[in-house]
Amino acid sequence: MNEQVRRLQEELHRSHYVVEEGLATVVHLAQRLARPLLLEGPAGVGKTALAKALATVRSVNLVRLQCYEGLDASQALYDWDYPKQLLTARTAFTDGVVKQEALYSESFLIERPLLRALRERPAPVLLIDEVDRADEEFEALLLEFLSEFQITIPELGTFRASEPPIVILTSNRTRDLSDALRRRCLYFWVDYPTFEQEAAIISLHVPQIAPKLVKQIVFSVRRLRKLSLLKPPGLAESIDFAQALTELGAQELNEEAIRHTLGCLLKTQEDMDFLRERGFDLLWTT
Amino acid sequence: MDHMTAGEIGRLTGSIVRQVTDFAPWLRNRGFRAGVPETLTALAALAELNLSSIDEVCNAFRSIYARTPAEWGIFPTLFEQYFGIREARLEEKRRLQPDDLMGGTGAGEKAERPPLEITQGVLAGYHPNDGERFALRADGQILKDVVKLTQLAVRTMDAPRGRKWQSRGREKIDLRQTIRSALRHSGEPFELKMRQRSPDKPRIVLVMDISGSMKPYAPFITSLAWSFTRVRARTQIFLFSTRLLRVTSLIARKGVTGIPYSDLPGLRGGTQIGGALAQLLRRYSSLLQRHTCVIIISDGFDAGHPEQMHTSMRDLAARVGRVVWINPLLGEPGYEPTSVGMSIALPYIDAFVDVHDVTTWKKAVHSGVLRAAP
Repeated sequence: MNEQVRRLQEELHRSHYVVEEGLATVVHLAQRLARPLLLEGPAGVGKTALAKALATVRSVNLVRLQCYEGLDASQALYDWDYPKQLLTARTAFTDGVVKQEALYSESFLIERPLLRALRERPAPVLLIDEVDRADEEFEALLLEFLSEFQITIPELGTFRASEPPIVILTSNRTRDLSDALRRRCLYFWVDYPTFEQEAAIISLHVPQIAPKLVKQIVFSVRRLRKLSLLKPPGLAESIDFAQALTELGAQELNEEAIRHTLGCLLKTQEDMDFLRERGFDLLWTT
Repeated sequence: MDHMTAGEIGRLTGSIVRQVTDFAPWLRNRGFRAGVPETLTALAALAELNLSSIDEVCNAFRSIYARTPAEWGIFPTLFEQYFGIREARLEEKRRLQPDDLMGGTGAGEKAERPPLEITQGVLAGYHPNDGERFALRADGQILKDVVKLTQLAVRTMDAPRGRKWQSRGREKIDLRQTIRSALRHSGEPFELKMRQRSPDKPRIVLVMDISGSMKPYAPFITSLAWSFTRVRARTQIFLFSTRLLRVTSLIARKGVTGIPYSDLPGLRGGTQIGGALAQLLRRYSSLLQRHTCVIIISDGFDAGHPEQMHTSMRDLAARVGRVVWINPLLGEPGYEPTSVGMSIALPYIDAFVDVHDVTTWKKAVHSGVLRAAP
């Protein structure tokens, strides 16, 4: 393995993020080639957590843009301080003539996450989370940023990052992203971890837990994922489940423990009913 | 074609550069959209990689050339084919494929899925009479045509004004334009400019009958449902036979590859339209607003209680803006909608259309069935 990739893998592990070699290689490349990284995969497999861990490893800020329907340029790129502009305009007119350019200077500019990520030093890790939730129009807004690491503000000109931020985009595939966005990014499909990886992750986050219980938890969570639930449990749910069991002092999985902690694993009434119908012993019997 | 071997890859020679350069056109012939930027990135990546590790090169190239989960899945096989490495393992995989398809265990489960599984798959249902399980396949060409037509259909829909449009009975002020205008009046905002918002996306709730009698139409209906997740509309998709099941994300994720029967828990034989609609009204009432267009796709053969069907249809029609019933049997010669379920539903339906293939969907779209009545 490449020495730098191995080092990155170790550093991420120290930040409580267990990363496989393939993903570590791609994260290394994203940094070296200055390319955004698009992570797709089921919910709760650690896509967002990777950005947080990377920010910790690099000792830089994490700038997060949470996407949603209706997100637009004024919330993602920049905005103007309108009340301040209005006051300045009125004051200036009483004294003389105001120059329009003066109202559109940096002192009136409000940075939103993307502009902040371009200007901040040292370059932060920019997380554009759940980009599939935003509209197609917003994707078009992102294109200039993702390809050139620059933002054009008509009144001020173009801001270009001298040191590009590390950009991580995540998507749960609730809708298809455009080709234009995809081809600007490196791509990685983040899947559920293997049995060993998941056990290692749980042990890392809940160090006081018994190894036998970890194996039982991983076994039961993996079995749940095969049951075609409406919301299969992700890694975050596994960790919550392990923490809850530890808090309750459970030494092994049994009906009582499951009954008290089921809400950590299953998040819809339909899924809970479904598991009750099948029987809780499904989670620990081989 | 010269192949790159593990030994040669350690030396970044002109030969290797040429092979990487030729890789993009080779991938394009296999459906990838690989161009010059990808080749340049791949060459730049080679300089950063440990070239003695072919796995590392494969991982890196995979993230550069693959753009979708399907491409992500198939890439390692193509990489092995092109660079001519590990031929023995590739043969082993090919031998294992039939076992995998036949539900073999052990080594068969570890074999990679063949490309066919990635582009086509199954949506399974249950026969209402004898419980026979059947599998349905979506067709790639149908998907392409249907998406275009659905785009057109959604564009022609009346875009409803949502809560964003107005705030407490007033339009929002566009401060940016107001200030620009104020500069012409000594800084006094005489003229308040109002914000021009683009209309909200249409809301669609698609309720699909997955009982055995709908089996012949299921590939098209699957394509139709998938197409709604790919156009500019807020769509929620439900399946029903004896139970209502929300499958929006499943269809969005697996519409092309198909949904295995195991992904549809609790759907048994028999069709209870009234019961399913009652569940929809009770559990998902927030989706059913006056701007919502509900599309029910069913032949109308209801095995439930007629009273429940009547109550559900009446309540649904009162709650939402438009109810469209798609009945594939309507195109059959001599068919009359005289079944109990259908005759109960008819008075509460705004549009009753035959849609069972691309042609009939095109006809329905052009006739404006999804458009609300003036």
